[in-house]
Amino acid sequence: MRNVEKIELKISRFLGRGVMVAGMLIFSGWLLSFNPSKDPFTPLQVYRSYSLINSFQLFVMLDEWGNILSTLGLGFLICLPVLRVLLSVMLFYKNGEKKMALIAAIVLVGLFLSFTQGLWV
Amino acid sequence: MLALILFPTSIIAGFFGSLLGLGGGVIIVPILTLYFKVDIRYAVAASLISIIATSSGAASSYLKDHLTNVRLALVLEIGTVFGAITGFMLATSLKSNSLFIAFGLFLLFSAFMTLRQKKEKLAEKNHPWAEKLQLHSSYPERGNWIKYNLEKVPLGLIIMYFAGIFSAILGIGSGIFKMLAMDGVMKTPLKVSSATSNFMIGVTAAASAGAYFLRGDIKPEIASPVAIGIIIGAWLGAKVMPKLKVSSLRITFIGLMVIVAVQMILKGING
Repeated sequence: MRNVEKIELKISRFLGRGVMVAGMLIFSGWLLSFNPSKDPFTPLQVYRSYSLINSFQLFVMLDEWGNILSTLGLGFLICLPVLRVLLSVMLFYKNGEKKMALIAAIVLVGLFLSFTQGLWV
Repeated sequence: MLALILFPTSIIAGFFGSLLGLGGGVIIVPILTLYFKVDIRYAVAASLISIIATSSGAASSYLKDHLTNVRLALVLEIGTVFGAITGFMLATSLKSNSLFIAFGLFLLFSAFMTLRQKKEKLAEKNHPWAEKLQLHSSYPERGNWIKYNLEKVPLGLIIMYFAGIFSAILGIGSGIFKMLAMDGVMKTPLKVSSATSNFMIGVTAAASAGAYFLRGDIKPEIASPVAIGIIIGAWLGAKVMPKLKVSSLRITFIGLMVIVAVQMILKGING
């Protein structure tokens, strides 16, 4: 197996474990917050713009620790592909492949730009 | 009670999505919007989470078979990520009705592409960009290593940009567009384009999922059971697939997709 592929495989296995951790956080949080008599869908039938920070503040106020745990798990899950790209930048740079490191860095910048849209759009 | 139904529904969505080579988003977004009546923006955001989970969870298996072209994936991710930026901006300015119509049209396109017979045509010459960045590679086939070149890399990158737009707007992995770019335009071998597409899908989805997450559109009440359910369903589907004859199931499913597509379009038109 080529050197780059070998290291990417290690990164992917590491991320696979990350998905399991995120999955456990999400599932635990969902179970904690689960209430069969409560309808979670009616409030979501109309779109309301409510930032992540406001949502978190509401969860803390209402002691909804299950939702806080799930949200942390969801955030961790979203960061995993970003982490993969960051590790790829380092991998290619260390391997002396500066063009590929630059390409991976452009992808990383794109990811950060995309994320920040959620703060101001 | 409805909350109890979403988890097994997501397992079924993941199961059939895995069997038929379709992303969970194609199934789960219509279910959330048409049956559970969730606003399409929340459904799209929840769907992106499940795409990240299945792609990131299975990435190592794509690499082990030596089919994934990691260098090509990174180059094409430039297109998908910047497409996702554009897609998110568009999604925030589009009304829900337009999103329904767009999703319905995409389902019709997916049904057509799934029916289309894929003919493998390999590139004879390597594009200069592929040469400079060493994107050409080889893959294993019946004990031999088959070398392949890549054509029209810039056009592939442009198609990936549009794949990123659709991913952000509709909550899908855009695997169909990725395959179109890779095996259709760049003449990548089918197995390589499938593996590379699945490898890339997590990054594509993460680009817009991060924005939806920070905007507060990823609701744990629906994203959690959807994500876990689709992971479980996809895992079960992968286990069962070698034992099932999928072709007749595929035809039935395409029929269902067309029906759901019409429902989505009508919902968008009627409001």
